[in-house]
Amino acid sequence: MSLPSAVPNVLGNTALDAPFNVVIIGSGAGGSATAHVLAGAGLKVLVLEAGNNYFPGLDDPDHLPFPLFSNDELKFGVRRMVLQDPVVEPRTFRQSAAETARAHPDVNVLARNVGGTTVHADMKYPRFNEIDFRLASALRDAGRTFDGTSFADWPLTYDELQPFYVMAEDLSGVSGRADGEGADPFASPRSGPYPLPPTAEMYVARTLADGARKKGYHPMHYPGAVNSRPYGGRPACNNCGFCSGFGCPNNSKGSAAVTTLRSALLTGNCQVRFNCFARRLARSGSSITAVEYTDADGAVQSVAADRFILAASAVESARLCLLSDRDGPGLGNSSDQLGRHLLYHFQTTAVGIFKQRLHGERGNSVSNGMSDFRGVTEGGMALRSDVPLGGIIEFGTSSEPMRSNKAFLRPDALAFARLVGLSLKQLLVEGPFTAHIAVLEMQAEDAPQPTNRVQLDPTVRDVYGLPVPMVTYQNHRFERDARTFYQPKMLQILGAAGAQFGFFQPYDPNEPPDSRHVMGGLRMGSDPHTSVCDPFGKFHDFDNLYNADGGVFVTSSGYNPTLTIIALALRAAGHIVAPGQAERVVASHI
Amino acid sequence: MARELNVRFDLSLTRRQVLRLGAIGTAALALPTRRLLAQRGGAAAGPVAPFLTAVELATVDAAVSRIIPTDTLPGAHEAGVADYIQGLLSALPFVDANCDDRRTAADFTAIALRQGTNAEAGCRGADVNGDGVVNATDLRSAEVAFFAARPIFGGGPFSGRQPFGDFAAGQVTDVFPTPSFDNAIPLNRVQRLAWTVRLDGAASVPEVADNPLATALDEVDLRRKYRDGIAEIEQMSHEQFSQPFAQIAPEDQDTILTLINPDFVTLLTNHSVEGLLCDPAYGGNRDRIGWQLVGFDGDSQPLGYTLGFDEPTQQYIERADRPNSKPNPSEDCHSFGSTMIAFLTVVATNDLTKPNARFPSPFCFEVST
Repeated sequence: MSLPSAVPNVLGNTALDAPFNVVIIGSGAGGSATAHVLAGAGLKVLVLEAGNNYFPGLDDPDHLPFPLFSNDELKFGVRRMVLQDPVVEPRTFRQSAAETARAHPDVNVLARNVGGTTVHADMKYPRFNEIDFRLASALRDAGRTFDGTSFADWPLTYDELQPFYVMAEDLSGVSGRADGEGADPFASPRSGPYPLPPTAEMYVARTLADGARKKGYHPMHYPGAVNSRPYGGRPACNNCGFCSGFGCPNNSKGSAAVTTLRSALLTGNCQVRFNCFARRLARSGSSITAVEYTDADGAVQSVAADRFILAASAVESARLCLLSDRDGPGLGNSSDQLGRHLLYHFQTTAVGIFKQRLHGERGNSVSNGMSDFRGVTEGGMALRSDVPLGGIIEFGTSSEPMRSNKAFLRPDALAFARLVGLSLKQLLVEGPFTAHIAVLEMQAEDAPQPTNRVQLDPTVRDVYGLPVPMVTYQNHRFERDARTFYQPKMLQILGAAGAQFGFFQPYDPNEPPDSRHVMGGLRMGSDPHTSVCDPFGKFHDFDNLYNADGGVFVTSSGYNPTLTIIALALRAAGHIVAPGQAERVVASHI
Repeated sequence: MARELNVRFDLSLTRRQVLRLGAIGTAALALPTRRLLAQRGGAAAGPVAPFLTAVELATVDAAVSRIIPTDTLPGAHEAGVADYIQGLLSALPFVDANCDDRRTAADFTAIALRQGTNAEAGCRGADVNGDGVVNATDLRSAEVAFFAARPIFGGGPFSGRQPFGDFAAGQVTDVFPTPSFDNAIPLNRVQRLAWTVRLDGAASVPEVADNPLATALDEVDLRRKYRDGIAEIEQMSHEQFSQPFAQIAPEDQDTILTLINPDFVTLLTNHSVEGLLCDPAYGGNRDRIGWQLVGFDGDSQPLGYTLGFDEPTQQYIERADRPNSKPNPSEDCHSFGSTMIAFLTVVATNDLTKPNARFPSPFCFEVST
């Protein structure tokens, strides 16, 4: 073994070759977490990543080099260096099965690069509440029923997941405050403090927190996988400001790449092939035998393994199951549940325009937030009876002048500006939609519905010649009512914080949801008739196929999903190594 | 030029990788893999012709100078927005290696496959430098041409404008990193196809035939849109004012911009915002004029805004001139002018993505101050 790899499009031990013990499809939060455990346990692991690698030397045992990321809005926000590109990989969207889906440039596209979406996320890593794992029962007990929904309890409890939350936080380096001032009173009980103290507060977040406090709410330090101190061999965050939507130039962001994937690579038991797109799983009876992929040069290759783990994101993992059985119902679909119960957080975005400049380009994008609108009691153990279930609120802003200006200063707005005697230049210079805005963004729970689903589009194909994901999605009144309930309260917070003007980003049901939080479609459960995967992420229909991304989620909760993806992936991988002893296995690799 | 381009590639690798590549020696050089060549650097190409002619560039400069004019403050002209647009439009190779009258990622493959053969009669094709043989030099030339004008994706991590901080000491150091923004990041195969569609349209890339977005999006087929848009501007200018657009009076230029295809004006507007606010590595925002104009700090790494943590006070140590958690020291907290207030009263309570749509009460509001 010689590390780092000198072979193009490969990271890790280049001497490894098929058959592998495990092939993992996707190098994001879930895939890298499973690689960390499985490679650490001595299994021979291959990770296929569809996107490029911007971490040269990620497998260098001597030191972790700086990546190719930079404080460059153009290459990230405008030119989509790390994102799936609709020009070559479109998706289609419709509200209901009665419509013909149309190609759309942004059906919740996620990142395509080594490290997955954790590379460009700003790493907000809260846990779910205790009650989230038994929400269906709690709603039923409270007499709150909703037609057309498919709420179900998770096949595990918060207490069962808690040790894996702790290990996911340790591996990722999560900053936050467990108790005292600035802690989240609605967070569920923890066995210990966060690995790191809170990150530095941004001026805009302090301003919004003041407003929230005046209205009687409980603003808190947002838990995030951002180094508030040097941690894991990586430096402290210096709050450069290019966080949400950007790769981190100094590796202080605890992305999957620089945490779990790097540790997997350094075992010598893991190889990553990037620019390699998984096309199809080959099966024999109840086993998967190989995965076909298009390599960096466009040639189709095949690789065999004992086990296969899907971690390509909820939509892409479900799509791969469908692509692998195009004449049938899709792999793992004996329950007719494959691709169904697709979940996106229902985002409500309230924008305030302030007199002063809020310099949102300084800080880690979202340093504070509040969970008062989640709709649970303190400790997250029970439902509040008097309010709907909403979600956590992020205290955000604009840190990207190009994108903000282009989003707000559309032709109709500019035409009106000219009418009142305002030039584009004046708008750019004064910056009412950039330097002066603060944003409250609620990540509200959306109700699971069997009709919200991923299928293959009948006509549109991607650059690989494959049918693209067709997403059918319609919001339920469950979350629309919550939006209506919480909107005026969000405006009150903005007003109390000192905003001069306020407005909401529009909700248009004809458009795909804004959220990047994609979950469901490969729902987990104990009953093979009502779920795709078992409580450890293994497909009911196969003896060697697993899911380790957001696909297994049963409900979406009202909190950012990534930490829960990692905790579940660690648990699934530990269970593969030693069934029934997942906690012990994972703990031995922290 | 040649030396500079070689350095560009090498800098995108870590020092260790560069050393290791050196140690692989001549055996690896003989490997006919274009990927190794792409990483290693090699023979240089000559200068690449820019896409817009000098006359066309003048038209673009004049047009964007009306979109963001120069007054007491600098505008698009001073910021080099036209250079930004030229860099974008010139960013892909002018190499038709497989002689199919298209410039696509397939041309790179064609060169790689034909190495060691003689150039074909009647089509220079894969023989990029015209010396009669197709070899690694041609491949390298095509690769270099790909990035020669301006990067599609600029390099990283640091511009070299900011120093390192010392978190443990809570201080700024006087050590500056090596600049790397000019080291264009090589595109992978799929990214090349996407950017070929952006610049030359879907017709040149068979792989996107079943993707309606490859023809429908505003951001594709940019070269044709610029050629057509510039031609329309000039035709209109000659019809109305009998002179080239760049030479007519500013108010007449404004008139022309109201008469031409509005989609092109929107494209120019979007690219003006990009060219004003992008990193200078892309040709625009010359001398960071755009960032100064709008009061944006620009890139801050590797210094950032928090220098360390002070244990006795339990506070982060911030930069006095650019605090992270407090208002700007010079902030006068002035309100907007009356014109801006009038605008925001209508627009900020409007759904800006849908013309004429308004939020239902009570969501239109002005917070009492």
